[in-house]
Amino acid sequence: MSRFYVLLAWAFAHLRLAAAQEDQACCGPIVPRREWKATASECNQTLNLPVRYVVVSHTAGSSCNTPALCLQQAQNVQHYHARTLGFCDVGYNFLIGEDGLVYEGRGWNTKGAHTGKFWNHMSIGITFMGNYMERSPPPRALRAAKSLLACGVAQGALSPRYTVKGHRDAQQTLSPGDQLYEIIRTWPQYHE
Amino acid sequence: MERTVLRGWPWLLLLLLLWVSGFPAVGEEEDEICLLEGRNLTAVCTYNIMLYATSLKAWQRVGSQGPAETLVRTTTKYTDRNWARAGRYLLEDDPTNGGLVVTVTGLQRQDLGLYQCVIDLSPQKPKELFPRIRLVQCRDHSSTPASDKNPSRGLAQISTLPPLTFNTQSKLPTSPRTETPLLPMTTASLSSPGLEVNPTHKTDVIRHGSVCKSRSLRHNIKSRSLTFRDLTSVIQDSSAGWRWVSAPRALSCFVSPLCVVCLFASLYIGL
Repeated sequence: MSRFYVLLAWAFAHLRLAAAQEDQACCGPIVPRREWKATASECNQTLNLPVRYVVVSHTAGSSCNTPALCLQQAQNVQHYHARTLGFCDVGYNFLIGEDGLVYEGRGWNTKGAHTGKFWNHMSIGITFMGNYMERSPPPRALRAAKSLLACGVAQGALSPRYTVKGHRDAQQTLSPGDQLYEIIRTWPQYHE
Repeated sequence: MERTVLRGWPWLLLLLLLWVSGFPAVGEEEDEICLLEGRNLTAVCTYNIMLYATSLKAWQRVGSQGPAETLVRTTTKYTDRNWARAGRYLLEDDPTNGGLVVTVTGLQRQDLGLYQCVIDLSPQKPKELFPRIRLVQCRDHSSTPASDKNPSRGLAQISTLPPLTFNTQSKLPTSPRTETPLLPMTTASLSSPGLEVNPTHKTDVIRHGSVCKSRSLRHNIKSRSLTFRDLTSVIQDSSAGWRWVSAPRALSCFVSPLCVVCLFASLYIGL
């Protein structure tokens, strides 16, 4: 009988370990900060996970459609936020390029600076690099964003019932652009 | 021996099913804050400014039956700031940031209960903003105010923040390096009387430990259900590349539960 319980405990322990590993395995690739040569973050405020909201914005700046260009663009955004605006790091938790890659900003655990005092502490801010007033991001960029959010749920950073908001839903801005806004409004996780 | 195992089997099976499938989500639309008499409550409700920037807002107590009781309600529709006070209740609406700050001063035992922010759409039915906030009795050490541990934290400082500026063209984040203080997850806190405009004072922040605990427990359990959910999401994904890369991984997600089931089966037969 005791053998049974020992084996039972082992089985549950194995299940726990496997699930933890799968959290990582089921996620798509994210370009880490060191790979896009981000400067070091000076942020020290963490998010309470899992968070309930994802705020989607655009940078309203240049778009990029190759890894080389997007790396440069991520650096530009970080430079603007950290050097010009004086933030502790790039403001977003993640940046999406038209190359279809996700660039790690502050990541899942650090509070962003993207949507003001009420939303930053309870949301993940993802931004599409480009201006999406007149045109839409390519499908690969949208897929990258969706994969990222699925990954966030898998890792426990996002609530399984998370809500997607457009930046303009929460602050007075045109972000994430008319075209991208219309797209995210069709996502099942978007709620007014 | 045989009988003991057989008697225990259904329970173990149930346990396994709960473990793998995750508990049903309960009360995610409600946050608990524990009440300390004499302290202040500060809570934040967020709303969609595309829809409700110029609507009137109210703070209500939700009774077990009958309509909710409005405790304080804004009466102006300015686009930058609206506020209203009624007795111990203060409501500050900040449409530029999509948030509504509620302050209740001098909490009393009879304040225990369920509350909500609403958008006043009269003559239509008001729209409730979730999560609602439930004031509960403080129970144990874990839910005592965190002022001793984190004196610099607290929503009370929010009212001292400078107004935010916006670039209407874009995306610009609005917080400088000295960003807003970290807020508790429920976006609510308790503060000592009269301290809400003085950031140098200690601020008591209820971390509602019990809620955080139960939520993290739920999260841990839910991560077991990842194995199945992942496969579903992979199958649903129309992206060919992602599908083929992920399918083996998703299959591997099944291996562990299968192992466990096989183990159970063999043990059952063996014993």
